[in-house]
Amino acid sequence: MPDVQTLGEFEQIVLLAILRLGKNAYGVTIREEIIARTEREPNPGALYVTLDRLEEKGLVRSEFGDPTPQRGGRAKRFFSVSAKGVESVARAQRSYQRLMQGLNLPGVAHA
Amino acid sequence: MRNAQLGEWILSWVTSPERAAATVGDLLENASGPGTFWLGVLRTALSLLWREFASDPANMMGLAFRGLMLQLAIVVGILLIIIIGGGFLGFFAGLFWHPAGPAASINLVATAIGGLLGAGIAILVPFQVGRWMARRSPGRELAPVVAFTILTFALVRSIGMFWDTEGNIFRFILSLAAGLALWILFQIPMFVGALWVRKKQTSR
Repeated sequence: MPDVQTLGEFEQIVLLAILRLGKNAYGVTIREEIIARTEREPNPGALYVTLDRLEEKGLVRSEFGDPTPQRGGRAKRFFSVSAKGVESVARAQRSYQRLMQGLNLPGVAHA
Repeated sequence: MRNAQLGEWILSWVTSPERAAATVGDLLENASGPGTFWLGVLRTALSLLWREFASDPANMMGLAFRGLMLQLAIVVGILLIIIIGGGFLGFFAGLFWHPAGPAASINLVATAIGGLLGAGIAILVPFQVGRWMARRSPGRELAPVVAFTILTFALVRSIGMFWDTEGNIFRFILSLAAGLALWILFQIPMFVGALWVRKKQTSR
C-alpha cells in the first residue's frame, strides 16, 4: 500500500476535481470544475498554492503541454493524481463515510 | 499582451518561469478584463509568497531576527564612523580653515557626505541584509523578508505601546507612520536584495 497522507478539505476537493477531469486537468478547468460541483469560487492564489503543495507531497504530478496561441504562446500545466494521491483521497472519503454512517441529520436529505 | 508579460515577470519572483507562464496563461483564459487579470496575478503572487514563509515560519523568524541584528550592527557601525569621522573633520577643519573662509564649502561637503551615508543606511544596508538572508534560505529566498516585515512591524507596534498611544490619536498615527516609514525604508531594498539572489539562483 502506498504511503498515505492526511488531507485538508480543499486538498480533497482539488484532488477529486483533477480525477474527474482526467487528461484535461489544468488551472482553468480545475477551478471551473470546483465552481460547478461545489458552488465555491476558489481564489486562484489558493488553488495554485494547493496544487504546488500536493505536488510536493507527491500526491499529484504536473507536466507542461504545448504552447497555444490562445494563451499568448503559453503552455498549459496539466495535472494528474498519483497512486499515493488516489489512496489518500479514497482513505479520507472512507473516513467521512464511516463518520456519516448511522447519522440522521435533521433537515438534510441523504443520498 | 504587455500586461501578460509584466504579470509573468511578477509571478516569476515567487515561482519558476515555466510555472509563472502557465499561471499567466490560465489567468488570461479566465480573465474578463484587465482588472480581474491583475487581481488574479496579485492574489496568486501574494499567496505563493506567503506560502514560502508559512512552510517554515519558526526558521524564517529566526533568520529575520539575525538579519535585524546584522542590520542594527551595520547601522550602529556607520553611525560611529560618522560621529568619529565628523569629529576628526571638524577638528582638522578648525586647524586649517579660518571661520571666515570656506566654511560654507565644508558644510556643503559634510552635508553631501551625510546625505550619501544616509542613503547608504536607508537603501544599501537593507539591500545587503536582504541578500544575506536570501542566501541562507535557498529555494525560499523571499520568505525571510516576509518574516522581517512581520518582526519589524511587531517591534514598532510594541514600541508604540510603550509610548502609551491609548487614547492619543496623534501618537497612534505617529506610531503607525513610523511603522510605514520603516517598511518603506527597509523592506523594499531588502526585497530587491532577496530577489537579486533568487534570480541568480534560478538563472543557474
